[in-house]
Amino acid sequence: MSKPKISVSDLKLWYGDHETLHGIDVDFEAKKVTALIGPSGCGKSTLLRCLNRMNDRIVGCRIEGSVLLDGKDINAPDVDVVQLRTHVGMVFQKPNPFPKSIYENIIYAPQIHGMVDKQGMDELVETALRKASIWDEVKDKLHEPGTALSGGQQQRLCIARTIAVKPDVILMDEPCSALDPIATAKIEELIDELKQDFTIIMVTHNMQQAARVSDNTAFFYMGNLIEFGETSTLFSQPQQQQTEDYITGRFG
Amino acid sequence: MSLSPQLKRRYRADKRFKFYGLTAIVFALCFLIFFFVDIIGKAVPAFEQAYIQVPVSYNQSVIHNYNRAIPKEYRRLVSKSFLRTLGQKLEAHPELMNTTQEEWALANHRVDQFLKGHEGHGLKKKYRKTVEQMYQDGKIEFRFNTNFFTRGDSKMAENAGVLAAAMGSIMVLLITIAVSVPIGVMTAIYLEEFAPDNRFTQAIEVNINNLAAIPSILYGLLGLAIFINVMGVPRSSALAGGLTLALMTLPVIIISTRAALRSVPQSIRDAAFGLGASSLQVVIHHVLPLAFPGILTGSIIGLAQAMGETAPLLIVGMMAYIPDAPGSIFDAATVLPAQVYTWSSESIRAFEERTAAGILVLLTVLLSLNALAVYLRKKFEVRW
Repeated sequence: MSKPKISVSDLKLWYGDHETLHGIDVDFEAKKVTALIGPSGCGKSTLLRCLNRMNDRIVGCRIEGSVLLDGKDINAPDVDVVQLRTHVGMVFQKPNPFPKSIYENIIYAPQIHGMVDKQGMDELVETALRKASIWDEVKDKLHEPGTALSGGQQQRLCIARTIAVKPDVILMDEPCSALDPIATAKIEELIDELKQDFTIIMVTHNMQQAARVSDNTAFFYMGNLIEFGETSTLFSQPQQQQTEDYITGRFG
Repeated sequence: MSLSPQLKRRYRADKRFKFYGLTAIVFALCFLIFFFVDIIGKAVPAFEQAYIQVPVSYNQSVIHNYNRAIPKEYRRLVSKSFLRTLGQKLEAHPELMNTTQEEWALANHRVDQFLKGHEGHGLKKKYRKTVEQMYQDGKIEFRFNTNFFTRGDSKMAENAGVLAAAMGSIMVLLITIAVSVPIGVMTAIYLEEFAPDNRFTQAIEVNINNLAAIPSILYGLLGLAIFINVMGVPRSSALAGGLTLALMTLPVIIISTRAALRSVPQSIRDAAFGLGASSLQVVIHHVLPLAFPGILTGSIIGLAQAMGETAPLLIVGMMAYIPDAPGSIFDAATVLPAQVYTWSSESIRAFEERTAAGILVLLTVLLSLNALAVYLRKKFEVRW
């Protein structure tokens, strides 16, 4: 395994008195797709949210252990959360475009981070939309509201919005769970293309999806990482009984 | 297939419930209609005012005693407010000296009420024949009552108007807006978007909710104690009233703003935070624009409530006889509802229709404010 992009070691997390993650050790490879699977409430989304510190805002949430991004602890006091999030972008379960135009949706983050000047704006919007393979569908209505698009298009718009900041890592929290099979297929195709440029970590409930798009898979259960490995291996020859039970649908 | 008895009973219960609901609505509507018919019926005559044509003799004695300008039999039919101006008029136009002019004068309120056929007009028997004759001869006529909108309060009923009170209301409202909206909105934003959720903020929240339910007269006492006694704001002034009403409106604005902020979907905040926006940017760029219509509506309704409020202003001395529109926020002023109250306690018959007309003016303003709130909400509402 090459040098990991993100390395999580002995990560424990509490919501109040309740320990949700019990010491997770996992490495995410650069420019690969890693799928996090497991039954509801197993801590996979919580782990994902630790990777760009979205848990910071939750009252009573406490973290121990380390999350290294390119060897640097993202929870260190000298790391700025705003800067971190320009390196680690996030796509959410429910498509959540801003109720503004498609153009404004894309340009918003680069503008607040001062990444773009007036001349470069059009080009940046086009590049981001092309990378998210939605350019052809929206190029004639860039100034119409992003919320008027279909669910699948909205989700790709959100992905375009995330990659407009040029992050290294994209976190996806069940990006297809609100979409129909055709829209899902398009997103999966897109993820396959995006891994050339980005490290992708996605949570999914859909076993087939994990098998189709990911290079590595991590299986969580009750706040523990049960098994982690190459997707093909994990799905064909799981080492743990629990993993086998889960992927064959015997529980969960 | 026939319906089972149980199902029939359920349908009957449905029908009964609908009937109760309908009855309640009809009942409420009846009250509303009665209220409006009564108010409008009483107010409409106030928008017409009797004017009388009398011979006015300008001479030296008028300067000292304006009563002498008019023949004795007409003297009581003319408003004193007309007679009072004669001396000044003569000074301004010396060429009128020693002439007699037929002039249209504002009629006394008794004449006005007598001709409108109102009970208790108070016109003496000996004048009634003359007045009726003059009316038939076209020497008394009804004109639109512009005085009602261009003058302040007066002891002469025919001369009393709402201008001073309306100006007072505007000043008070502007001060209330200037103080309560920024403070209320900022408080709500802080509590909703920035403050940690701990015992302290929970205590603040409970207290704000309680403040909204406190009898408004207590705010008057608070205003008296703080603004007038401690800070030395002039009594009866629009400033004192505005600040007091601002205190009263604050909780309403805070609560409605928080509700508006809370109705912004969490997913929008997530999206903005996920892109690396700071807390302030999330609020200013995304949350506030979406919450804006709600904030606006809540604020306008809170302010409309403040505008119709009388009790706290009673305590800070705004229930006063104010003949002239206040020149500044430090001058003694009164407000529309207080004016309505003052008039309603007058014994002269002509004040009754003025009370109703004052209510009508106040209601028009309040309904316009509410209509504005609805319009703005519709206009700025973001469609998903």
